[in-house]
Amino acid sequence: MSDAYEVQLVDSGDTTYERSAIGVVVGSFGAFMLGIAALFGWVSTATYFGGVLLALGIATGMLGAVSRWGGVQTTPDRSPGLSAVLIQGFLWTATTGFVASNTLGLGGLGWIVAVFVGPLVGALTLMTREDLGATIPTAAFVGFVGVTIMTGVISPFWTWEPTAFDAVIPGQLAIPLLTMVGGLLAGQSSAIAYDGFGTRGRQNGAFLLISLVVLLTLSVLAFLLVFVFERGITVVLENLTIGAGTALLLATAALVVSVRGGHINPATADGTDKIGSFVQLAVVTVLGLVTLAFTYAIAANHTISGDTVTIEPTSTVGALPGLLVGLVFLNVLQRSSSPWSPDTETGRTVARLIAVAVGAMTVLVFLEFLIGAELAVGGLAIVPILAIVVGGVSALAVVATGGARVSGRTLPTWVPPLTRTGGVTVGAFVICCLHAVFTGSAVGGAVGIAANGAIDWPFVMNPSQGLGIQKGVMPAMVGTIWVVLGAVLFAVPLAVGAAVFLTEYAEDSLFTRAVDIATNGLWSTPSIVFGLFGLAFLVPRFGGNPSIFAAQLVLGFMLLPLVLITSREAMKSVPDEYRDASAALGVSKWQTIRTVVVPASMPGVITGVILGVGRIAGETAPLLLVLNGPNFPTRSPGILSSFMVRVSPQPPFIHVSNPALLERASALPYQLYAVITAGVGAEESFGWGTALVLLCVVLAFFAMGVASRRYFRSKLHQ
Amino acid sequence: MTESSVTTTTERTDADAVTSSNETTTGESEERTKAEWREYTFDGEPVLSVEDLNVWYGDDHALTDISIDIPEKSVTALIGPSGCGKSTFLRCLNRMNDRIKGASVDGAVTFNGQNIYADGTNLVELRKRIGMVFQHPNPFPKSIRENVAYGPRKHGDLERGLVPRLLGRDDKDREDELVEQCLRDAALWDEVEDRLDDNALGLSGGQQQRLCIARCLAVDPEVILMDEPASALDPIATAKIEDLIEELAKEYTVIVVTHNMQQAARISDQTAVFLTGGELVEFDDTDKIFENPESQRVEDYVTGKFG
Repeated sequence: MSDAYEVQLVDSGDTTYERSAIGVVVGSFGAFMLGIAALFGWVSTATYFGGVLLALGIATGMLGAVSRWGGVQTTPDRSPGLSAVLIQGFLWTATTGFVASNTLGLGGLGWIVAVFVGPLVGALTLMTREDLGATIPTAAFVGFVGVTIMTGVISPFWTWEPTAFDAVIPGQLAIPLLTMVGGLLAGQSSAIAYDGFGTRGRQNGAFLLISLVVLLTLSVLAFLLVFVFERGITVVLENLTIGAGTALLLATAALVVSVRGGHINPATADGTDKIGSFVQLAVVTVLGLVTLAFTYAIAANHTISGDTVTIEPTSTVGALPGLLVGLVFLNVLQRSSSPWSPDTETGRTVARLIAVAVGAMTVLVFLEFLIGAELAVGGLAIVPILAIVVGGVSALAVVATGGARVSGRTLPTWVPPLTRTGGVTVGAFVICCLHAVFTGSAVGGAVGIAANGAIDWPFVMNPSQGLGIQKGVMPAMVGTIWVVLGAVLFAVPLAVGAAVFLTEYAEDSLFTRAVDIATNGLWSTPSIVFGLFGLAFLVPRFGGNPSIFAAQLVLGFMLLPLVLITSREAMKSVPDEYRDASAALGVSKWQTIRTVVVPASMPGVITGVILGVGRIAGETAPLLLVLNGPNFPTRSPGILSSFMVRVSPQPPFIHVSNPALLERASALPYQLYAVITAGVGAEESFGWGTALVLLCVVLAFFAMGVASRRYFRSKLHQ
Repeated sequence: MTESSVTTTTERTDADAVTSSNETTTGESEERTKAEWREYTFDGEPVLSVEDLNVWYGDDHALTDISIDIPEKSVTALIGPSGCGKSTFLRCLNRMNDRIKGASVDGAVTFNGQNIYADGTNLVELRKRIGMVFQHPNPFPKSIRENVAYGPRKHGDLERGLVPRLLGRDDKDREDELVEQCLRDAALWDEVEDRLDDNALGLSGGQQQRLCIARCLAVDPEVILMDEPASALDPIATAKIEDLIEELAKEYTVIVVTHNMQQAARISDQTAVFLTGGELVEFDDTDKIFENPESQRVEDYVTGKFG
């Protein structure tokens, strides 16, 4: 360093040398991606991989040589450092060993040669100046590998059978891996060269290495998802039919949500925000086009059909999708609404009228839910008529206020704000949907709400009749949902209660530490052990046969430790200042816990539930023992409809029972296991479809968890 | 191994104790704390009267034989170097020391004629009457409105929520009134009037501290204890808090711990000086303490010769 050039304080980064270096970095990145793509089978392996590597090797070597002898201003250290020496020593030992023992056929003797060559290269590396030491050995290695691939020494059809263990490594695998390693090494060297070697250069090199490894990790995960999705999607979507009205409604809701999802301008955002905003823009564009297509289908009475999906030009809207969309819109409106408290007598009357109308509709529709039939007077159903009147009036009000606002007129203060009247309109629509769901009768005619039949989705909505007859996952899906819900309902209150006791009441002692250790141990206990416990202990006590209830308890036991651990950590991290402040106001400990500590730790609790549900929803082993239903049940477990309440003179006077809870059932991972192990006649596509649905169910739970965590966080912060 | 290390610790503790007691003796030989320096006479009954208060944290004697009478509707400043026991003393007055593990208190604190360390003291009621503001602003992660209304809601003075609304007993109007009154008293209303439902953590440090004072006022205390309420704030926010303290003294008895002697001189009516070793050296009118203290050590401290 003593004879170094004078270092520029500001480095504009656009000298020819730097530009060439960045070119090599980009090339290395390309080689790395090429390796990944070949590994995953997106491109086929070929000899040109060797050409790429050879070019990279030559370019990397040039960077070092130009820095040493070409008069380019860089700041290399005297030596490339010990880690570079170790890497080169290892690489060259391995390379020489392979070449000598396999290619040249020297066998074990080759490795003896290698043991001398590797350290020799390492020592040479150590003694050269950094700009050479960090580039030339790497360049030589990458170039050499390139040549072996180019000349066909290692071709896609080449195989290597290591003598030590029973495996065959084909060229199809070796070439992509070597390309990735070459890309990593050349990338690191050229990234070091880009910043002129020295401390800054090595930082740049390390950064590139880490980024590429992270990229590899992410692409493995993405590949896994894409793989399942690709295999499963065709069977899941088989014969799917959607009414265009329903599809239009769903697409519109998705459009509204994605437009409101973020307010980032792609032109001004930077970093990940920029990527996010472009993704959002793309999603909005696609949804907009889809909406147009559905509108066209209705208007032109044209059936759109793809490979497996058909969109029929019906203009009615399905009740359940309508309900879903209505609730989403209500939520959006409620978030954007400002409080409205009218201060004139007329205004208060209007507010009261709105409250009465909404209240009446809600009560009536709830009555319909209780009796399960339509409330009608003289053959006319009350609820839809009321809802249409209320919705119509408020829709008119929306149009009127909107028009007045556009034309710039001021409105009297008794007129409710747009969000309020809009909310009433959507609310009336939701009531109509509920009416259709509860009573099974349609609302309206050609344009209106259909009670059912808006979506026909055979794979998801039907039970399977057995292998080879009809594919369907409905009973298993319902089983999974019930089992997971039950487990969460059972475990979360217990775990939060225990966490409150351990954190707030129990002194830090041997006891609490023992509990902590036991909880951690319980979380790592194999699930089949939990299953065995359920089979031996719970099953005989609850109905004597495997059941949904036993499965809920067993999965709840599995969930318990993780939720306990995360809740406890979250409560520990609630600042003591809050507890002091509350105590200083004379508020009792229990009330402090309830209103300050538990709300502040809710996000942490939910994180635990999310992680835990991800595990238990895919759990198969304990379900084999404690759920153990027929592989392909013909009907879904009807938990809600089989609640029975009986009043009797015996204590406890009100008997609640639910026989469906005590029946065997199926679950998605369980059915997946059954499909795969069925042997002769097994349908692989059925398995992939089931796997995809399982993935979607888990992701849906995950999304619900994330949404509720965001809700609780937003209550704690702005 | 364990035994030997235990012995070492004990020895060291003993040695420390010897050194510290030596120091105290030297200090006392130079100048003995006289009882009359701590006697402060005023008209009327004291609102808080402390007699022979001793506090230990484990083996550490934090406060030694403190006796002091505090007049009502005035500002009393507690000053002294770090670790002299001012905050400990303050926390004894509403029994917040009960919350610290290993703290033991001996002596009597009489509040309106009742000893608050007697058995069967209702801590909830005590802390409602003797409120406290902490060194670091510590609003709850809730809205400004909820922060102010927190105490009264929890004490059942304000009924809010679904059940009272259905029963027609919702106290929304009373709550709005109370929130406005407390925020006005804490000189914060004009700044937060239009964002009462925003999260309190979005306020600046000075605003948060005034919100904490408003939250304390909402439970209608008689005495307000403040533990260095302005030490985490900038000069402008500090000036606001100081004005506020003087204003509050018209209605409440304020006892404030501070490190800042100018602050004590500006805002307080009487000042108590604690010096190292947890003893109260002198208690008198603020002017007297700062201009003509009886004790040489106090004079050295307030003039900045040590401490």
